[in-house]
Amino acid sequence: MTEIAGSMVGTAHWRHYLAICKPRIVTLICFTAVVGMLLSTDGLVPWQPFVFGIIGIGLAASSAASINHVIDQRIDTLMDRTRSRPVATGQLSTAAALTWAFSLAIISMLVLALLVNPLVAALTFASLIGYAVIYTAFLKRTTHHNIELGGFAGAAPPLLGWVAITGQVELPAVLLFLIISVWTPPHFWPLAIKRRDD
Amino acid sequence: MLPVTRGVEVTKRWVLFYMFVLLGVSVLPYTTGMSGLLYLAGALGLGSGFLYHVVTLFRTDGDSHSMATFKYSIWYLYGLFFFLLADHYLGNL
Repeated sequence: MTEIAGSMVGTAHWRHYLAICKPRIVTLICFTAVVGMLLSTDGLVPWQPFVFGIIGIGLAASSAASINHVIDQRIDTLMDRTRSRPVATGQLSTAAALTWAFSLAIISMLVLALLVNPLVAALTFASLIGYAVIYTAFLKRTTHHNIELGGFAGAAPPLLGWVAITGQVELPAVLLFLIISVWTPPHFWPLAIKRRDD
Repeated sequence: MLPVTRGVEVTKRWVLFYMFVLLGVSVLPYTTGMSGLLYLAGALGLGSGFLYHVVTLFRTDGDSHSMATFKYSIWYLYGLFFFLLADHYLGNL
């Protein structure tokens, strides 16, 4: 009986850890990183930076999403859309979620720095800090124009994918970054208009 | 968020502003030689559609056209990626 109860709690936790990574958004981020990788070279993309680049960028995005759940836990309880998030409801403790987020970030950095290249590790780390800390913790609450700045973090993946393959920041990668940054406000604000009462 | 703090009309004006910036920025891959005519045609076609939605959003009251604009914006980005890749792999043919 205790064993069954224990395994049920275990299953629930596993789902909570996965949920705070925002898997759908992470999938989208990996997809846009792959676009950057494919565009970076004329021939076939070499398999090692391709595979480990996706893993490293995906783990960093998962970490950023988890930190977002921790920082926003109080505010999440106030909005219909986010009320049932595991950290907001207390199903997952702040300490557990933070340990999870830091572990993901460390593994991501090791994978990128050792198996891809140091520059992509540094830029991915900057994006993670930019989104999870600067955007979520400060800008989102303080400025009207937070979304333009949040867009920078969302625009990073194709550039990161590019750098994972070439090892350097080049003009086309910056253009991809620029396009998605500028796309973010007209993409997000119409939704924000719809949900303005939330 | 802008619609909450400054209102819907101000937000729509900003959406229109960024839409024009986006149209300009989206042709840069062509003008810098990164992509060819196939991409340019795709970017302008997709951009015209996005502009149509944003102008409609601007001209209609409240949020009646906001979800249509939001949904199109997602297809716009997928489409842009598609044309970047298609141009990258087929551009030399």
